[in-house]
Amino acid sequence: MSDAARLIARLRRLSWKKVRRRARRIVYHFAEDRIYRVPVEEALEFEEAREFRFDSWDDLQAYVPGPGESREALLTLWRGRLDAGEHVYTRTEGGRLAIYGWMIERQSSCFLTDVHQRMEMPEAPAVTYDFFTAPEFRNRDFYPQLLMHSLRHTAASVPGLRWIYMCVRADDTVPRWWVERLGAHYCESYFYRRVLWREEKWRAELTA
Amino acid sequence: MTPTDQRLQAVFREFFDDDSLQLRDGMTFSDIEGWDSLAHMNLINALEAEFGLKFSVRELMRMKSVGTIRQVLTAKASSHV
Repeated sequence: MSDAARLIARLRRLSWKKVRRRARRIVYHFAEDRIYRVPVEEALEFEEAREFRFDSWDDLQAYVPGPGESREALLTLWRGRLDAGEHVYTRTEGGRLAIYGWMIERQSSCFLTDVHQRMEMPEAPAVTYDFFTAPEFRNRDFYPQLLMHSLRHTAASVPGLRWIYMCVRADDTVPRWWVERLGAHYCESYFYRRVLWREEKWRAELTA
Repeated sequence: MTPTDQRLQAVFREFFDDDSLQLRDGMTFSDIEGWDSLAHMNLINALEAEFGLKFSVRELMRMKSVGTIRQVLTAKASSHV
C-alpha cells in the first residue's frame, strides 16, 4: 500500500470522537507510568501454563495485524528484539497469535516512552514489557495467565536474579488491576504533563 | 434461592442496571450486555465489597460464569462461618 493510500485509509477511519480526543490531546496530555516489581521467590510460586511458548518465531508470524498496522514493520521490530537477546512468550489459538509479552533478562535502564523519562535500575533486574492480547481473544484471562507464566518462567530460567520489574500505565485499568491482584510490589511512578507547549516531568517514589 | 444467590443477583442487577436480570449458572460474558473484562474487574470489586471477602488469584481465574462465581462465593462464605 502506498503512503497516500495509507493516509486516505487512516482519514476514513477517523470519527468525530477520535478527532475530539486528538484535539484535546494537543491542548492537554497527562500520563503516569507505574513501576512494580516481583521478588523471584514470589514469582516462583506462580504456575506455568503449557499453552504458552517461548521465543517462537512461528507464533509471532501468526500475528494478524489490526487496521493501520504493518505486519512487516512489526515482524522487523520483533526480529530485531530477538536478535538483541530479548525473549517473547506467545500463545496461538486456531493458527492466530492470541497474545504475546516480552522479557529482557537483565536491564539497567530503560526509556519510558509514555512519560518521556529514563528509568535507571542499578540491580539490572529482568523486565517484562509490551504485553498485547488481540481483540478477538480478550475476556478470556489470557493476560493474567501469561503474566504469571512469564514471571514464573523468568524467575526459574535467569540465574542470579532477585527481581522482575514491570511498568503499567495508570489508566490501563485491567492490566493494572491484575498486576496488583497478583501481588506485585508498587515501587514508584513517573509522570508527564503537557499543557499546550509547557511540559513537566517528575517522579514520585513510594514513601513510608 | 439461597440468601447468597439473592445477594449475588442483587449485585448483578445493580451493577448491570437491569432489574429484570435472572441469573443462571451457565451465563457468561457473552450472555449479559456490557460484561467485558473491564466490567468484570469492577463486578469482582463490587462482590468483594458486598460479601466482605477478598478473592485469591486462583479463585479469580475460576470466576468466568455466574455458576463458577456462585460456587466460589458459596465455598468462601461457608469457610468463613
